[in-house]
Amino acid sequence: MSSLAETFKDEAMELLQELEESLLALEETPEDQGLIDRVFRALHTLKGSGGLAGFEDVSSFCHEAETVFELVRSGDLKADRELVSLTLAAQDHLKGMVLTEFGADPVDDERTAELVAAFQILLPFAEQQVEKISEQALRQESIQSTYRIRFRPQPNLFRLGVQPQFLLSELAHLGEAIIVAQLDAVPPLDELDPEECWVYWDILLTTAEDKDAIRDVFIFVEDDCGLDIQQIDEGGVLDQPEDYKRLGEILVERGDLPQDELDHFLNQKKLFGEALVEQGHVNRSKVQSALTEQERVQALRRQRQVCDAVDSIRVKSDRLDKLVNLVGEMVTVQARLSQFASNRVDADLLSVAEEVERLTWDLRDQVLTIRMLPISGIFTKFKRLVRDLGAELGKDVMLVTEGGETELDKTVIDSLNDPLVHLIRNCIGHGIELPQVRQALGKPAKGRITLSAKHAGANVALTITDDGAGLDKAQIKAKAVEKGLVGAQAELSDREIYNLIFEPGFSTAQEVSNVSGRGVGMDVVRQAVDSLRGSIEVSSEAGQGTVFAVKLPLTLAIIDGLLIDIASEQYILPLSAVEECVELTQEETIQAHGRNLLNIRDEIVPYVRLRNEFNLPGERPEIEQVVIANLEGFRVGFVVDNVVGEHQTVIKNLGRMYQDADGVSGATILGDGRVALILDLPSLATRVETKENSACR
Amino acid sequence: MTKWAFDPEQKSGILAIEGGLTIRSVGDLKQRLVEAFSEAEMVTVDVSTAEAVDVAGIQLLCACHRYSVGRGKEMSLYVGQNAVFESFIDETGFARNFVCSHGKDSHCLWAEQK
Repeated sequence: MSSLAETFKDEAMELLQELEESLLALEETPEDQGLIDRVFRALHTLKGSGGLAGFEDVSSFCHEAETVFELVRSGDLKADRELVSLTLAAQDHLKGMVLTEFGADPVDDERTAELVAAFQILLPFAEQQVEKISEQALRQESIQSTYRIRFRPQPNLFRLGVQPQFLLSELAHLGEAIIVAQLDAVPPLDELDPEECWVYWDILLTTAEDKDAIRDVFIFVEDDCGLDIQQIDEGGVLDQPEDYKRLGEILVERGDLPQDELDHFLNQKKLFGEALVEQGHVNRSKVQSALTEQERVQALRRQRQVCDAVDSIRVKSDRLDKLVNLVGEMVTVQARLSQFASNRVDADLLSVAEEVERLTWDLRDQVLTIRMLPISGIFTKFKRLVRDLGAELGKDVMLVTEGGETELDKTVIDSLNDPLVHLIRNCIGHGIELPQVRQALGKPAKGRITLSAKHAGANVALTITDDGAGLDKAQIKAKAVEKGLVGAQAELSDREIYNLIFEPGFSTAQEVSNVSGRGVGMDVVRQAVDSLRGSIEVSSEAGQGTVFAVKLPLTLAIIDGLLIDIASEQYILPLSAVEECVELTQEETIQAHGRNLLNIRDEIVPYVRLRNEFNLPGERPEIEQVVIANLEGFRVGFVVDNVVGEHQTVIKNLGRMYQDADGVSGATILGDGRVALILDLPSLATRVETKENSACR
Repeated sequence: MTKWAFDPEQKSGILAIEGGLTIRSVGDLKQRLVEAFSEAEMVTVDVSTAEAVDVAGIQLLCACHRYSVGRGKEMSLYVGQNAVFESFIDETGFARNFVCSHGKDSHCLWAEQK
């Protein structure tokens, strides 16, 4: 496959996503011209790029939809729900058409014909539209130029039934226009024949159209007006803003000032424009018009320079992944260098090591930032999911998204799709009630699912909220007892009951459907979130709805860690969870009578002895350190021998053999070459909690 | 349709244009304006309730302004909250922010509308 085709594939996927997003928004606000334009542009660009890359079928298919949206743009057709549905179906089909070239199953030709026919039905004047579309296409792809136009109608214009404002309005539709009416020829009232036109216009038009298209606007009055169109700035040329003509040159070019008078005035010291007006050579309106032109072109050139400066390039994500891996290796080597330097009494080496450390940290931050993407990309997909699933189940559901601009590492976003799809499917399938049920309960017929994202320290907090029926505690508990997940007499808090839905085996055969998740249960959601080193919590209120709160790390590559040691073994705790460190003496341990509880400023905090958990040999030191972590709002202490300090932790996978090791989420290589395990604090806390609960039963 | 209110003491009057200020009515309006200036030294043209406007109408007001300046009289324009009028002079390039080339030192009629 050629690189052109590969590039087209990437671009097409982005455009199709943009198309879907715009269509879904258009369904909510069908009159929004901006959205209509976005849909049109996406289809048009896809058509153009497809043709260029040799995807003729994609190009011609897009053409059908684009033609219809040209009618929508001009107000001749409404973007109703049927058209949006048809275009969404076309969007799916286009995706298939593009991917066919990359080894996916070929699309059904009959379906292509069906969709084309459906679009063509909407085109009563299809043939007339074809030319218009291609003109539009050219306009959007061309470079913008600025034209100076003087439109001077003959006095009989009004008598011909021509209203100049319509010509000006049509001109303004071609691009960005600055219009100045020139009034110097208008006679005083007693001399005026009010049915004659003495006003004329100077227009500055920045457009992608060519001179002929501008002339076409005046086609019916061409014989009854003076029309001068001059290109004064071409968008493709990188000129300096200051290079544009001086005021005198503009006036001479326009014919408003003879060259000899310009030369005469240039020899004077006065402000040029003022002097011209004062001496009556040019009226103020014309000077103003020329100044407007000067400012306009200079502003455009400045704007172009900024655009060129912020231009972006497309980079394959696997190259970025390699870059991140290399930076990871570099962070590890830098840690070794720093350790080596600190063990030597060599000020020069230490200085170089510090410099390398600073640069490496900067590099790490920059590279990780490059891979950050706004989460809005996947939010859009869910709008479609909610729409289609709601329709399938006869439920009226809207998806509200908040915080789409929140950025997350691309690898996290990629892995987030499936668990979120499953959660949303559950919200629609089990949470949101049917419209008639909702109305009977006094709720709005339209259900609401809110998907929000926000930064919370080194994490991103995602919440999926629905205003449906909520979780049925009694039913969940009954099912858990039936499945043997809890004892019939177990006293469980609301949180514990809700969390049962994430237990493996909680799902029953009856629950498995296309809607609630292709035969997988919520345990798969938790596994997926865990594998991202995140956490998930659920809360609910009967009749009011359910909230799933997912917490995820910003990146899976490098984290800030806290290096600790126990029995000469070193471990990393994610620093984002750590709140404080306190000491634990033998005396305090004795006073607690064997209970693993600590009194911190009158707050009782349970703790976990990591030495015991990992069965590490040796004696405990006289004074141990307790690292207090905040796990989903609960403070838990982790007892260690020593806290070494902060550590830039490059996360390494444990490999297949140890991937399911409980309480450990990965490993890192320390400066001295040793391996330190990265602890999974929530799972450690849960493990201890479960153990204690079992002991109590 | 127009309404003329004259204050003989102040020698000033208000000419309210209530229908259209368009090519259809400019002939009649010209006559009303000439009459107004023959009577008053200061004329305010009230377009706040004008329902339609076109270039011929605006040109008429511009010509009227010149006429008043030429006779040493004063003309002012009252637009009020007439959005149709305001957007029209903006879109057709009449609105500006400098003095009138024919009005000597007087303001351009459209300068205040910018």
